[in-house]
Order: sequence, then structure tokens, then C-alpha cells
Amino acid sequence: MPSAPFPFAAPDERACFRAYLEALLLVGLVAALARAASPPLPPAAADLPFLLPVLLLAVARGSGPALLAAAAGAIAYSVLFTEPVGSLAIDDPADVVTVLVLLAVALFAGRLAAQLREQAREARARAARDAALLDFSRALAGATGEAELGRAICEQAARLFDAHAALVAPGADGGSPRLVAAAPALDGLGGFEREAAALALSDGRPAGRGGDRLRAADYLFHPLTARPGAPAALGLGRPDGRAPVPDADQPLLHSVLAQAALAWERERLAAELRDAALLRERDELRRTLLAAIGHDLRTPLTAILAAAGELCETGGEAARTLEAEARRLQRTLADLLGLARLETGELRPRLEAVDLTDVVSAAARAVRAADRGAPRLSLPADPPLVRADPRLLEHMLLNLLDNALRHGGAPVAVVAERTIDGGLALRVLDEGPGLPPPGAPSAAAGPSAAGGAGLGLAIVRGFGEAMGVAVEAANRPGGGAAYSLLFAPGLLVAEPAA
Amino acid sequence: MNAGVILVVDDELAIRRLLRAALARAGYAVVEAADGAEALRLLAAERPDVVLLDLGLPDRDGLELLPAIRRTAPGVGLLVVSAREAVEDKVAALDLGADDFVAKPFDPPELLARVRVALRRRAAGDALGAVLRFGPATLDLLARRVDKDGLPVRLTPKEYALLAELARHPGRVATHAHLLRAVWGPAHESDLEYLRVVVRALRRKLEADPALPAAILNEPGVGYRLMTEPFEPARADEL
Repeated sequence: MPSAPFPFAAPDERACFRAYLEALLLVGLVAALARAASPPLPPAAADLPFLLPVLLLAVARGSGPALLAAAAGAIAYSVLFTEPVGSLAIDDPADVVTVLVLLAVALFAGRLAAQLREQAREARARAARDAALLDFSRALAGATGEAELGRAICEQAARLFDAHAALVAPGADGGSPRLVAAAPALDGLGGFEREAAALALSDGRPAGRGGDRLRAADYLFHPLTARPGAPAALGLGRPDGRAPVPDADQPLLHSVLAQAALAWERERLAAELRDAALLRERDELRRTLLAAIGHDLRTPLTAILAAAGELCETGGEAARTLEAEARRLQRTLADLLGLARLETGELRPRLEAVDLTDVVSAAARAVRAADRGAPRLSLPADPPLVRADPRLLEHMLLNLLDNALRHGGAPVAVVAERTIDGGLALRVLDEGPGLPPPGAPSAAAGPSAAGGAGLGLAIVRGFGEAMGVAVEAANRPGGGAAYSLLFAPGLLVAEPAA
Repeated sequence: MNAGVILVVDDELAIRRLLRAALARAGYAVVEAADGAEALRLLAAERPDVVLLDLGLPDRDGLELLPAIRRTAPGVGLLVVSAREAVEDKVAALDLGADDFVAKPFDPPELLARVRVALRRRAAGDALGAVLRFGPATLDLLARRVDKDGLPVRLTPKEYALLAELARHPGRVATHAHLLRAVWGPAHESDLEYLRVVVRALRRKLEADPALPAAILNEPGVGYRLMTEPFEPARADEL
């Protein structure tokens, strides 16, 4: 792309020199014409024409050349038109006044004209900058999606500053910055560039070549927002190594960065909205599905349970098994629905001061009722109260007891003990084969056993997570497994004196 | 002989049929309603002794129906049967006048026990003045005397007040908030830990096995239930 002339760059030296040459030539021309016309005209009439080059140059070339033209005109007038001719000396005091007035008028007019010219130049520059920014924001507004927006920012910045541009954003999980887009395209960032980009992003100040730190990088990275933790940074660099943005263009750069920051933020919000809408839809679907499953499975289960209960009254081992298993199925279903509803936020744990005696005895009674054996309960006389949801806690314990009685080995015991950190551990202990070795769960326990244990334990972990209760599984030193519910000291309730 | 008339309100035909079977076997007469409007009509027409009310009705929320039932039949035994696990619903139902609740899917023996308690209450009113027996202990409300295994037990004033309050709802659940209000005053309505500590002390003094309580039972998130035995001659087998 041919280098577009910068609309507001300072005039270069050659143009300056030419303007001064023009000043001398113009004054010479006026002197020659006035000299040629002097026999018909009196020499005194030759003073005003020397104002012409001064005004002309002031308007067209600025105050410097106009000043030179004024000086040169005064000299030429005094040499050529005042007595003695051919010398700078002036005899007639009236001529001295003429020369001084000529100089004063030239200076004054030149200054005025130069100011006008400066104002016009600034207005042009402002218009050009506004037009450039308008183009920039228009290009950004048309972009959707991070990649497209990044490309638009880079292309526009590259065009505006006649430089190479690269946009970087913080990497995932605070890793090294990632390249969003570049113009011309880049495969990736070099080591120095990555470092400079990371620095600029993290503290919100520019870094890289032409800046005051990490100058080894090919780009100077400008954070989009001048705050630590910038959302993205724009790198600008030139193959010839010069500063990509001259001082005169700093205001433009600021505007460009501000626009880019706005567009970037807008894109981030739009992406979040898209995600939120998607999540909401998914949650809604899940809720509907859960409600339907809950109703459609619970109702027949209720009928089965009631029928099994009636069969039990007339006796029969099969009827009792039917009832026990249906009850277990019902409980697992309720737990699964509860877990799913906890995840969607539909169900919140109701935390209250809970007496572990209530929870442990209720779970033990339920296990006993299902004919799965009698766990030995070993609670201290005064287990501290814990802050928990009693129903969730009871179901956690029920699942652990069920798991221990099915997959572990009798005798099963429930114990509560203080932990080293001042919290409380509620442990379910069995004397079975212990935990399956890691990595081979299904091979060790058989698919059905592992599936059963896995589901129950998943429920325990899910409920525990909702209440801030940690779940720990370990092998006991003497054989068997220990599943522990760990209550941090913060979950214990201070007891009032009775 | 008719032990009593039970009105079953549930929109599920299968549930109604099973409830009817279980209740009829126990000697009760059963009338059925599938929605709230019919329930109110039958309540006036059949004058049942106990209502088994499902909270999820097609025409209106069961919770709305509770006050209407109480207005129509102030003395009827009112049990809420609900699949809803939400503790809030149970507490709300009790506050709105339900005597007790049975969770669905129900355990028939438990259901029948609740029905018996409700009928008993209807027959006797709250059993103030009687001698109550629970587990190895007895409570004589008139003499303010508590025995365990025939030996007198000393209770603190708070312990006795709580036990007496539980005894006012024999076999029925009393909510945490109700017990706290009655024993500690309205300012302590949500200080559950007070209640827990005194219940633990009572259990230690009165339960056969305090680690596996059988007399003072907790309904998770709802309240406590004093498991009294039917009115039998209080100390017949003791003396």
C-alpha cells in the first residue's frame, strides 16, 4: 500500500528552504519592476509594492518567509530608491520613516496572515482526523465477533498510522497474551513481543519499541484502556524501526484506542449476552425435563410402593424385596432430582443448626427398615451442632451407609470425632475390601457394583458441595474403607448454655 | 363397625385407589375427591372425621384450600399428603391449620398411625390432664411429674416446659418456630440451637437409647414429634 501522506505532518526541510528562496526571488522581481518603472514614477512611489511579496508569502508560506521578504524589501528599497542610491545609507529622514513603516507593516501583516494560515491548517488537520476516526469507528461498528473486530481494528490502525498493527488480548487463565489479529497478518508473536504485550496488558502503560521499556520488541503495545488489567492492547510498529506514531499524532492515537476499547467492550458484552441466553435456554429445558421426569417416575413408583406394601401384609420374601428395592429406587430418584435442582439453582440448601444425633439415627433407622443390617452407632455424648441442611445431610449419610453395607463389609459403624483443625468429621467405616484401586474401578468391583457405588457417591459429593461439606474416601489402616464428611470449624454452631 | 370416615383428596386415581384400599382394610369408610371444589362439597355433605389432602391439585393450590377446610369443619383431622419435598410447604401447611403431614410415597403403617392420632385428637381434644407414656417414660401433666422406668426424673424448667409443649401435640409434629415461641418467647423464634440443646438434654434423661431416639423424633427442617402411645392405663404394667 502506497504511503498515504500524513495530513498533519510537519513540513519537511526542503519545502522550508524553497519558501525562503521564493521570498528572495519575489522581492528581487518587485525591485526589478519598480526600478524599470522608476523614470516615469517618482522613487517615493516604489515603497508600497514591497508589501506585496510580504503579504503573499505570509498567507502562502508562513511567517518566516514573510519576515525575510520584509527585510529583503527594506534593504532593496533603501539601496535602490533612497539617496544615496547604491548604498544602505538614507539621507532623507522621510525615507527613513518610509522604510520603518514598510518593515512594521510587513511584520504585522505577516503575523496576521501566518496566524490565519495556522488556523486553516489546524482546521484541515482536525477535519482529516475526524474523517479518519469516523472511518475507523464505522469499520469497527460493522464487525461482529472477536476475530472480525480484531481484524478491523488492525487494518484501520495500520492504514491510519502507516504501520504494522497487531491486537493482543490476555491469554486464558492469565497465561501469556494471545494474538487476536494483525495487519499485515502474523503467524504469532515473538518472545519479546509477548513480553511487552503482557506488560502493557497487566499494568495499563505502553511497552515496546519507541516506549520507555522493553524496547527490544518490534511493536509498541498500547493498552486499550490505561488501567491495570487492560482488556486488549494494540501493537504498532514499522519495518524501518522508526517510532510508528509521531508526537503530532498522539491525540489521534488516543482517540483510536478509546474507540477500539469501546468496540471491544461492546463485543465482550454481546458475547456474554449470547452465552447467557444459551445458558438460560438450557436451564429452562432442564427444568422442564426434570419436572416431567419427577412427575412421570414418581407417580408410578408411588403406586408400586403402595402395592408392594399391601403384598407384604400377606407375607412373602419376594414382596419384601420388591418393596425394599422400590423404596431404594424412589430414594435414588429423589436424590438425583435434588442434585439436578441444586445445580440449576432451583433448590437451595436450607441451612440450620442440626443435631447429628437426629441425622444419624434417622439414616440408621431407614437402613434398618430396608433390612440392610444394623450399623453400629458411635457418637460422642455431645456431638457439636453443625450448620447444614438436615435433609441433604440425612440423604448423604443414607447413601454412605447403603454403599458401605452393599459394597463394603459388615460391621459398619458411624463415628463422629473432632478433627485436628477444630472441625468435625462424621465417618462411615466398614471392614470390607477397601476402596477399589484408582484407574480400575469397573474391573475391580464389577460394572453393576461400581455403577451403584459411583452414583451414590456422586450424590454425596454433590450434596456436600452445596453445603460446603467436604467428602473424603480413604482406606482404613486395619482394612476396610472410611468415608468421611468433613465439617470445617466454621460450620460448627456455638451452643448456648442449656 | 365404622372406625371413622376419611375424605381422600388427590387428583391421581391410582393414589386414591391405594389409599382407599389401605384405609378400608383398617376399617375406615372412604370418600374420594379429585379436586378442591369437590373436596369442599364432600366436606359439607359427608362430614368426614379426617381429611387426607394432596397439595398438588388441578384446580387450586392445596395450601389455599387449608383455611377453607378449617372454616367449613373446624374440628376435622387434617393431614397433608404431598409428594413435595419442600420443607417450606410442610411448615406452611402446619401454620395454615394442618394437623400433620405424610410424605408421598407413603408408608402405609405410618399413614395409618397418623390417621389414628388425628382421630384420637378429634375424640379427646388435646390430651391435657392425661398421663402420657412415651418409650420408657411417663409424663403426668397434672402432677407435673416425669418418670423413667418408674423412677422420678428431675427436669430443668426449660426441659419441662418443652416436654409439656410437645405433649400438647401427642403424636403430631410441632414446628420448631412454635416450640421456640412457646418455651422461649417470640424473640427467640429462630434460635434453633436453644431447642437442639434442650432436646438433647431431654433425650439423655428420658430415652432408652439417647443415640437412637425413639420418643422425641425430629422431622428434618420442620419440627419435633413426641411419639406417645395410645391411651392405656398409664402405670398398669409398672406398678
